[in-house]
Amino acid sequence: MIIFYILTIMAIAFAILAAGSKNLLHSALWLTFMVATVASIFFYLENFFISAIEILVYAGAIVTLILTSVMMSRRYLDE
Amino acid sequence: MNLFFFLMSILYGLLKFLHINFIPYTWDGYPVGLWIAYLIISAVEVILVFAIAMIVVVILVYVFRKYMADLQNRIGPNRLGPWGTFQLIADVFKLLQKQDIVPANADRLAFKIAPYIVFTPVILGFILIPFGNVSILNLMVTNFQYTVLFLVAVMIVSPLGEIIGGLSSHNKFALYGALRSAAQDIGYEVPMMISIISIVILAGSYSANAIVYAQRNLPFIIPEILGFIVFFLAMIAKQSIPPFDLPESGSELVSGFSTEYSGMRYGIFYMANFGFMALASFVVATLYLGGWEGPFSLIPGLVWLIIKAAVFMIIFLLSWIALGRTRVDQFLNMGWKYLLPLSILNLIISTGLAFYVGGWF
Repeated sequence: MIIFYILTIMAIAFAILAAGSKNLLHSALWLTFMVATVASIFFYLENFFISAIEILVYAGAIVTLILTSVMMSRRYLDE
Repeated sequence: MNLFFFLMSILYGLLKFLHINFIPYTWDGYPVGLWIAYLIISAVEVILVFAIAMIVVVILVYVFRKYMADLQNRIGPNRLGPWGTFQLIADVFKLLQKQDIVPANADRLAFKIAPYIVFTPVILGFILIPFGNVSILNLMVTNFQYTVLFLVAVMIVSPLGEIIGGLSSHNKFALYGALRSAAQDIGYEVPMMISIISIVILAGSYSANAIVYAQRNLPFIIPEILGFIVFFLAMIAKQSIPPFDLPESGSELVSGFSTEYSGMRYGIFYMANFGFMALASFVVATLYLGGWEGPFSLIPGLVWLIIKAAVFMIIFLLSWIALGRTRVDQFLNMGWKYLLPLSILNLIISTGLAFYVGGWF
């Protein structure tokens, strides 16, 4: 049970960091960690399918999409 | 008393690890310290797999350098140790001593984290492979229902680290490398997934163990030859070795996404590259050549798996050394126009096979 609470607090912390950081790249980075933490919560709860799908869809597709769009954003290129 | 329970649980863990079913102490019918025992088993097995992965990487780097030298009419590393076998260890020490340079313009946090995002999935992938059925050491570290799905999920994460590393360097070449990494990523991932889906349909399970068991009569390379071609090309692209080394093409971009990396951070990228090569050959051997199943049951399954994986490692190294580089548009055309239809055709074929001659596979 302690592991569950630690993971939950980590997920919330990463989510706050992802939403709050000014830098888009950092947001994507924290989002990756949040997804990994949520996947490990599902893994801890022995729901392996949802855990794998979480990583596949969010880390595989959505974070890649976000990173590609960050790459295209003019502000990031100018910095 | 706690120490006693702890020591008993260590003993129980060791016995469980050696497959000796002996419950040392019971309290209300439950073995005491069971979860500590499981924790110890897991820790030992994970450390064992990590050691296996690192040993494989060391051997692979040595074989790569010797093989490359042989094909190029050179001698290769021959100074340190017998036949130059200690060269990689010396290289690692050299990299550890080097100054850790972070570019002034770089995004420090993302720049520092990126190598670990590339390296961690490789080790996680090694944990998911069934290494054999040896009875003394249980080499199936994880045996849950969705091993292959997890393997794919884990393999998809590592390009993120390449993209983040390239973006955070704030270097022209690194940015190009990251862009190409993203494009390449999108190009091969969909066909790779579809060819894995057809294996899962044919085997009727997501578990790598069940997939190995389903190939006891006929390895999946024969009914799934199209899927094998697609998956193999996707694995070459995934490692970004020639002919698909677009993200780190040495002659156009300096070193692609890893241009600004130096010292041990570069070393982590290097180890992840070779580790993924080993992981990819183990995965291909497990999914298409029957894993640890072999014709003679006298030889343990691990040996069969290593022989099968070594064949693929040599083929990967040969393609690295011998082939030239494709252009970006050629690669993307190949991915979307040829590999994707081929993998869908393979999906249809394997669905038909599973429907009509399902029991045999």
